[in-house]
Amino acid sequence: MRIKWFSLVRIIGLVLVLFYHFFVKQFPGGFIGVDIFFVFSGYLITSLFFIELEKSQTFDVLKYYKRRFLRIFPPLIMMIMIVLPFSLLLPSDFRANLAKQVSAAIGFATNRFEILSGSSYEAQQTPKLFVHTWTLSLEFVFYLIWGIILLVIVLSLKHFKKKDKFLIGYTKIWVLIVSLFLTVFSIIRLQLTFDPHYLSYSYFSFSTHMFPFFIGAITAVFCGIKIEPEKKAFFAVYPMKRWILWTALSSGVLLFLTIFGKFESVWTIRTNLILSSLMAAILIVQFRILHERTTVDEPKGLTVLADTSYSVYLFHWPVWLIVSQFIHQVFIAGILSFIISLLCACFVYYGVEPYFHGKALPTFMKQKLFYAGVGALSLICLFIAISAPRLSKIEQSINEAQISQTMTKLDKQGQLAQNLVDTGKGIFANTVWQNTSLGFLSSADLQLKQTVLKDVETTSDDVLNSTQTILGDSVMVGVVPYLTTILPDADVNAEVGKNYDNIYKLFAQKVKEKTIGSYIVISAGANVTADMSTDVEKIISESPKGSRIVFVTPFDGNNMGVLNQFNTQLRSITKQYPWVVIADWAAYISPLQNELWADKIHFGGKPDVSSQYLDLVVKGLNQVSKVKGKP
Amino acid sequence: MGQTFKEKVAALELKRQAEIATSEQSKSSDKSNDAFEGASVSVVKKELKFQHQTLAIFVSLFVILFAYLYATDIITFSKNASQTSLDKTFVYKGGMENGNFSGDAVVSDKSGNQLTAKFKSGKIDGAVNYQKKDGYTVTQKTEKQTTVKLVDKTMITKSNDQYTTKTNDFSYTGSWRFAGTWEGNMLFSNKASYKGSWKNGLPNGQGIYTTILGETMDRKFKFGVPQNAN
Repeated sequence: MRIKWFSLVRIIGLVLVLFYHFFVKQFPGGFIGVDIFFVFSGYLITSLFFIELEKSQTFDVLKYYKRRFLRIFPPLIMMIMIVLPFSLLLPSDFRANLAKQVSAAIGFATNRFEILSGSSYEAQQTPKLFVHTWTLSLEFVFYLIWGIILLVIVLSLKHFKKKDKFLIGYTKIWVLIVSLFLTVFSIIRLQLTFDPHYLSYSYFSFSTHMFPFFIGAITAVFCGIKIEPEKKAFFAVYPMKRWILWTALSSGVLLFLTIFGKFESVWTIRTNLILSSLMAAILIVQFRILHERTTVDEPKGLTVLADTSYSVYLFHWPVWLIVSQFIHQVFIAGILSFIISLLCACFVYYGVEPYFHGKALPTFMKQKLFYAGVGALSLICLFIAISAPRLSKIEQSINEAQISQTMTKLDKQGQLAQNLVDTGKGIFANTVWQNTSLGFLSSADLQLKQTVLKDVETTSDDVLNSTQTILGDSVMVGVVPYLTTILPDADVNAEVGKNYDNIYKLFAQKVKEKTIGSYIVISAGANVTADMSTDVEKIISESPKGSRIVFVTPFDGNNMGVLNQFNTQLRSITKQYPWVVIADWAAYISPLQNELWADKIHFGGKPDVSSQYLDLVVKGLNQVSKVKGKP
Repeated sequence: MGQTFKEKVAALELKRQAEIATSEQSKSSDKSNDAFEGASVSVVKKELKFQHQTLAIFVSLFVILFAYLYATDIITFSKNASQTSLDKTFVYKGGMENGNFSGDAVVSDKSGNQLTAKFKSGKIDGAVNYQKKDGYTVTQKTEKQTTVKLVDKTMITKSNDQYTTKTNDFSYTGSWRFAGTWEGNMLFSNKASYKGSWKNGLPNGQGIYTTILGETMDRKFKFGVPQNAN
């Protein structure tokens, strides 16, 4: 039984996700489309279960698993096999750890994979080809668990001799109780485990993101695909004004969240996803009513889009990554990606899937040559996955930067220890101990060594003779090995994954402990947070008297819109204070962004770019050293 | 409108009954003779197809399980490797896992200096040893505890930013830096000592100078030279 207009639910979910991925600037909250899919999935599975139970008085769980498996697995494999050869068109960083990416997709573990790498900022910098398959992981777990729960409910009720209407009635009551419990459990767990600095867990974990499925199941209890005749009659004469009001309300809320609900916002995961799921449930009911209320057929185009929506979803993200590499005009790239994804999806849905559901194989598919071709393509895909680099250049450069940083730091420790011993011995040997008025003397050679290290000529004495604190993110981490030769005594706090929020907290802690340097360099922002300008203003207002600050403007070639806006604010805020200056990295590197790594943010391991970056920082320090510190 | 729900259910039921009948017929045809050869061939084909699909599903489930275990790092493949850094400044020799530095390794830079450490997921994990070529050895036990052994076997310990050392000529306790100011206490083998502020490797600022005769001077110092009292 096909419910007219249900296609629209799938299409709305799909369109929101596509808009989010293709035009993220205009639709930063479009990821809620995934939750619409989840709600609809929970609704459909539960509704079809009720129909099967009413018809056969039992629930064939094996057939249920087989149906679900054949629905999601073959298109997934098809997508991977079609995409992998084309992935060779992408820069190598996009294929980093491809074997794991593919394994995670096939093993329905992309969500766990994302949780594991969620704490690794650098691992998130290059888009992953199959990251979107995280939704399948959640769907897969839901199918598994829900099948067992439904079977247990049915078997238990049968054990207590419930039959016919009683069996259906009691089953619905138990499905409602269990779904309500799991929805509440999931939402409470989400709230209790929520960590604004580790959104990956809340978003990708099944236990904290399973509530949409069960909201769908609850909807199916009250307004499933098959409804009572009285309800049917009521829907058939449902007042259109009221229908329009509810549909407009739920669609309006979803549209509002799509345009304004940014992923980084604390409320997005804590509340907006719950709200989106509730709105999706209302929309499902509205279209269920519309099915009874209208007599016209659903336009064929909608049916095609809805039928292929799952495969379009599977193809759209890797296709977009490949297309957008070659076509930089976002709108054209988006349209082209959609067309290619739709064509691939139609091929999979109409050309291949029917054979998995019993359609007789054509002659060519029975020939050995066909199987040899499939085998050869599988081997090619396997080779592409295995031969792909394990790590992206960005990750490798950050790991290597830590080694260089440690070697430099330990070498400095050694030099300093040697310097201490040489100084002590020098003073002991050169001091005229009998003439105390001459005080202590050390050798001229030692005094020269003590003052400055090699390569620090550009840093002014005023800066060197003061204390310096460097606070930075992964961009700064990349230059630390070079930085320590220029500011040997600087207190460097650079860590991957740092954002303005973390940096402000670290700054506040150092101010409190009175360990903040007189010269403060802050380089962050590539990891965007909601209120970076506020953090900048807080740092300026809370810095101790006498402080001088250099802010480095962040640059991200893939997120220039947001960062340009922040950098404009940063320049305007800092203009008000003579003791705060800008090292305008963004303005410098913007026309030279090809010199960065593929993520258009990092350059660790590239000495030339690093020295340019440091040059700007030192110039900023020298400039600010010429004015009085904070009054 | 097309079929109603009831009509559809009725049609499905009819289809199901027909399938049951076919299945029963096929069971009996297994035992039948050549007269039913055509029917039994179709049954065998159907069963074969069913078996193929079941087999394919089981193989797929096995593949899914293996992929899951590999993706979630339950199954891992590690090996020893030698890798030159992107900026070609050092060579890593040691364990690799998923492209990440992992396990015991030795890193050698261009000058021949060596870092010995244990790695986990690409990052240094635990104590590190740094050997300067023909020079000092630095052992960092924790972030706050470092020991330096110079070529002449002099030991310098750094604990919570406080340096401690003892040589034939002097012993020292306090901070130490290349540049800037700090506090420290240097005691010489001739019994003279200085306790107070230092700058760029010389007493500078307020300090107490105990002379070789045991007299003490609490003075301000400027680059090692005591300033007039008051």
